[in-house]
Amino acid sequence: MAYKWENGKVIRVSMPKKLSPENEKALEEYWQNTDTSKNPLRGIFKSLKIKVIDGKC
Amino acid sequence: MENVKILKFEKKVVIPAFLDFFQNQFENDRERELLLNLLKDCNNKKNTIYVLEIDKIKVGVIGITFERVMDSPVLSIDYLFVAKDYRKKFINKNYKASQILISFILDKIIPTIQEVAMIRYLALYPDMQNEKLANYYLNLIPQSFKIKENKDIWILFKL
Repeated sequence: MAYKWENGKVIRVSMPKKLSPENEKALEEYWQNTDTSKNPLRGIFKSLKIKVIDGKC
Repeated sequence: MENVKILKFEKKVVIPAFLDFFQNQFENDRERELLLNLLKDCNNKKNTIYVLEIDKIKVGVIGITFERVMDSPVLSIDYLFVAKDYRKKFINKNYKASQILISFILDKIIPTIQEVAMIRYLALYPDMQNEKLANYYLNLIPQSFKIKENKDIWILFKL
């Protein structure tokens, strides 16, 4: 679920359960050909040694 | 060295107090309304919210839920918000708040979930459906992939 801002209103949106054959193929190719294991975003959180606690307000 | 924490909210968010954290930190009504909807959905147990706190100041929020696409589990970023004053600031001299929040999802949340269930993608929906915002998210999340389905743009990242 996510939110879209349209004509001054917030609308909830969900990902389509099925994709078009073109998108399905493109996404499969992306999956097969992309190695995200060394992505620069991975490891930032760990390197900062951030604590996670229950929030209260 | 800044004192950085992540606060987890699953329900029982006191919405006026929460919005007060970010008083004067919205660029426009759209951002405030999107955050308000995220908080309402949190109280209805539809999502989980994490707040980035730096030196006891709340600077960013990320809300997540589960979805399925093509029979694959997907973790969806419902909304990513960073307080106006912190959008261009580097925390601990290196990272932006938005990078830390997404890294938190990748480093901490995904591995925990993947101990019990496989998740194939992290998904994000640009709340303003235009190329400028889509490109912003593509740059924020390197190696992410954009698809356009039924006129809707989605950004996906292989996990």
